[in-house]
Amino acid sequence: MTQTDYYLTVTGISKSFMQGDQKIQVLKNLDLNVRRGESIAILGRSGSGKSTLLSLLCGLDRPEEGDISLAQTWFSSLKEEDLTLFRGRKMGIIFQQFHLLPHLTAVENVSLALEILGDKDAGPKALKALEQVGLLHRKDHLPLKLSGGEKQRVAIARAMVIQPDLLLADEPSGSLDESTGKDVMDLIFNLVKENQMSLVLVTHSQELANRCDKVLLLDEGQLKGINR
Amino acid sequence: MSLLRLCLRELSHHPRFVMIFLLNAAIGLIGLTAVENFKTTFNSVLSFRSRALLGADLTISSRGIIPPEELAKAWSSLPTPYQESRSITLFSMATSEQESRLVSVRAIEKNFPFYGELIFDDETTHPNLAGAFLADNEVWIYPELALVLGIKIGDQLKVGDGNFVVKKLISQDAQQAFQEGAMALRLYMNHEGLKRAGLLEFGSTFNERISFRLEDAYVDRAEALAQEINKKLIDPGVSVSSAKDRSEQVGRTLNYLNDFLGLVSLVALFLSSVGLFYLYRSYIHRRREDMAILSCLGLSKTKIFRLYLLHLLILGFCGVLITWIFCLALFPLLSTLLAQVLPFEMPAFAGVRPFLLSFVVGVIGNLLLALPLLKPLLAVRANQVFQNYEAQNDESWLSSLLLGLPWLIFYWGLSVLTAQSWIIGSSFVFVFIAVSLLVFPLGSWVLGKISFLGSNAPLSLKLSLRTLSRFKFSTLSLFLSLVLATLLMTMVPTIERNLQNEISGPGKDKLPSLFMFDIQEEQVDKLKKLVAAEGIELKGVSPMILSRLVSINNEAFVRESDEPRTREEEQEFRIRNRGVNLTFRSALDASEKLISGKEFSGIFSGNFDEFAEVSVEYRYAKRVGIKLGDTLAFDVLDMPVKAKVVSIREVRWTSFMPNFFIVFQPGVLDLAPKTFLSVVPSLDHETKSKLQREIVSSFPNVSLIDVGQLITRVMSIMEQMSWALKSMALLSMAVGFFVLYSLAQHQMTQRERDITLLKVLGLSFNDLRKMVRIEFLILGFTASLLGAFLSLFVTWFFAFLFFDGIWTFAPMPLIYAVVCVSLLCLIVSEVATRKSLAKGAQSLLQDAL
Repeated sequence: MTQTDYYLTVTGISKSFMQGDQKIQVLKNLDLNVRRGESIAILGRSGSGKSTLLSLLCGLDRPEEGDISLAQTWFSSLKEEDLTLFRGRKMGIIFQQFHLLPHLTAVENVSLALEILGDKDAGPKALKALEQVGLLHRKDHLPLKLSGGEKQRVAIARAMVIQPDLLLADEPSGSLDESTGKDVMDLIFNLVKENQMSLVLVTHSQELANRCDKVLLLDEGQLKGINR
Repeated sequence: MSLLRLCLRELSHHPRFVMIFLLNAAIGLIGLTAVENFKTTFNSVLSFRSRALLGADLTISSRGIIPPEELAKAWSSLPTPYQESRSITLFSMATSEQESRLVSVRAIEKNFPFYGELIFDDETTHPNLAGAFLADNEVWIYPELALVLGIKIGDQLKVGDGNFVVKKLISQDAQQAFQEGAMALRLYMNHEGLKRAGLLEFGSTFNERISFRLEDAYVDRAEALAQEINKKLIDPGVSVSSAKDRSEQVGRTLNYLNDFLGLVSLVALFLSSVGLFYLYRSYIHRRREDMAILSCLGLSKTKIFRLYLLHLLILGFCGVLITWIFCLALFPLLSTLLAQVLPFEMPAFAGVRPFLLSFVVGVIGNLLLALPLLKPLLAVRANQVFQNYEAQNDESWLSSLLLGLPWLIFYWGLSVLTAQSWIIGSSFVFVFIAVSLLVFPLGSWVLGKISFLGSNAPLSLKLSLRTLSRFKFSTLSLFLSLVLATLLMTMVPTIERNLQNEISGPGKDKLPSLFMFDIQEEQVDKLKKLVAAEGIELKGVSPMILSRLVSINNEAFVRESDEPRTREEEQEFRIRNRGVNLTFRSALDASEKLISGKEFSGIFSGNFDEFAEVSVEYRYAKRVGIKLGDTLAFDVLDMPVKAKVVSIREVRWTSFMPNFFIVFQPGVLDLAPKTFLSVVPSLDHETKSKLQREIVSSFPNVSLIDVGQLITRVMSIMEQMSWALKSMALLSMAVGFFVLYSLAQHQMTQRERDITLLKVLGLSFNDLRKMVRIEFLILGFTASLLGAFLSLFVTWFFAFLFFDGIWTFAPMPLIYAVVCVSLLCLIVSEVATRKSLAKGAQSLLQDAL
């Protein structure tokens, strides 16, 4: 299989941080390939560099070495601004802490992602997305008035509403109780399947990871395959 | 772990907040301490020099000759033996061959002054002069007068009808107070010389003073004796002063400067308080989780409250310490600068009072912040804090306002203390409360409307409007802070400019060239002819009759001899203890405007059992307590005159036309002994000088004021003082901008997470910048506009209350403020957005690495 067969390609990326006088190599010559519609789980202990990898995949940070390509577009060829727009069109991101804008209602938070892309039908599409996550009745509520599970559903609707090709999820059930967390993850997997999108899921949970097509372990700055 | 360690550790983790907080506090406190130090130093120097300023232990003085029965009361009350010395002061013209100038003539006896001395430029002194006292044809003058008249020692000088020789030039005069002599420089002669000059004609305006030197054993009782004699006096035109009164009188010259500086330091203090309040509120709001965690770990709410109280105590103390260090370095420099303006040296430090005041304000003021800010946060349960991780703005501003009452009362007291006036201090606090009460409900309503407006707007505008309208409390807090900061910043230059405008006058060319007084009745026609010969018409010829107000509505116009405490009482005391000049005319002058009542009905009937009609100037009426329809009784050179107030009028004093507090209808005072005032309209310099020489030569007793020159002198004094005004105004502006910067910067820090999130969602950098720009521009522009607009009302209000209603529309400081505040907000938002955009978004991700 050639690189062009993959939707997301990561080739030899490295990233380090300075901690005091000490240089910490977080990612070392890391490779990753994800096909369209494929779901990948990345496991790793705290501090192993999962979030660093995720921020590089989002294009929020740049690798010191290597490059990343999404839909045949290499990140290194894009300027910061273009990369931001590219991310807005191609990727949906779900955070552990939900990160909704506190002053916007549920529907406004969802429609914002479409409005940024200049979508004229942002309102109706946002309502439909909220309906898909079962929160239409809470559309006019501010995040303050929503429970943790509801907030994460709004965040999922916001990520999905742009119909991204790649969904990046950072421990999406990490802040939720077991039952709510399970419901949220079911929702994510169903939507990914329905929309034929690729998923990169960062998690601590082996059980959750097992629901993905492939499970990788981030250890000593490199991804290693895990047999299930 | 002790609370102190916990507190210090937390503060050390927030160095940026600590630095901004301390700087903010220190700048406000430095302003307050500097002004307090100036006031205290000045008062202590005056008190030290007071006897030298008066030249005696006690004086009794009167406009005109002191009535013998009043003088007898002083003699009988003073412990014998004592020394006395008589002096007369009046204005007259001094003429050399080239020039003539108005001078303040002081005729003295050989033994005056008892304290202090005159030092001449040949380094000899008086009264310790080994040689003779002034001969009848000799005068001592100030070098400045010699310069303007183009004369030197030994030259001839004409004063009144007499020719005099300039004997000595005075280099230092212990009786010369701060900036006296704006209108005329002083000239000394003896009493025989005064007779030679023929200046004491009937009806001339002069002051007689008898100075007393007490035996050493009674010197300390001088003040008590002065009060005791004052109580016995009946004539309001006569007063007894002690050395302390003299220093207060001199101090009064600077009281208005002090009041203004006090006002400015209040501005600086309030500005920094607004900044501190906002900064600490934001900081403490972000510590909510810490509080909840500490609570979960078992720290009681009382202890948490104490912990943050300790925070404020440490911050306040450090702020005070920085203030002290800065002041210790600054005050010697200020003292050097002051030495150039004041006629005597002032020590750099006035003792501990100003430093104690800064300590009280810095520490107690800070601690009082804790109630309105901490109590509401501590009332929220820990689990609520954790659940509402993103919750904001849920506190009740009304309860915060109530908890803020002690803080408000503290600042109220402080304002009154600093301004030394209940009215000024209270008005200041009132303005603050009124603006806050106006901004919150009005702002809430406007923000509600803005939210709807934005629904169809472009994305950046829509997001800006949503942020502004949804973070209502935060928006309104910042908006209010910006409004108050702009209001306070524009107040200082606006009041300063108003005063300057008023002094320089809107149309200098319309002002008269010469103002004349002491014109005798028989000289009026001759003077008119002399002026007419030059093709000029004499204007505003007005009779002036000396009198005293005896009663209002049959109630005696009592002298109040108790010592005045506040500025308002001082003003009242002065008004009641001086005679009143009367005039009569049939109609209002162009510089007057009728406010209420009616014009005179015509010429008085001549029946002195009836009330004559009078018109009273409105500010004088207000101060003395005269209303339309009141009856007044005057003593005009022992003749009783009854009058009824038929109108209240406004007078534009700076027109320099002959104007009076009380004007009678014609036919009442026509036969009373009087002198006349008049003006010569605007002339070119040459014609004016020629006419001035002719008038002085033909009418030596007539005194002339060169109006243009007077304005120039007053302006130059204003300029000398203005370094103090400007440096304080600059200080308040610096505090204002610093506060603005920290407010805007803090707001941006709070928005950082949202900006990062929008960046992650794909909002272009351009749109992000535009969004923040719009948000800050709306806030900065509308707040500064409202602040500037409100400052118009507030300065008008203050001008009306304290500066004799001097108020003109001065748009430039307002325009500068609106532009500067808007620009500053924009710059801060640009810098902070740049910083946010340059940052990664790792903070949003769950793992640090």
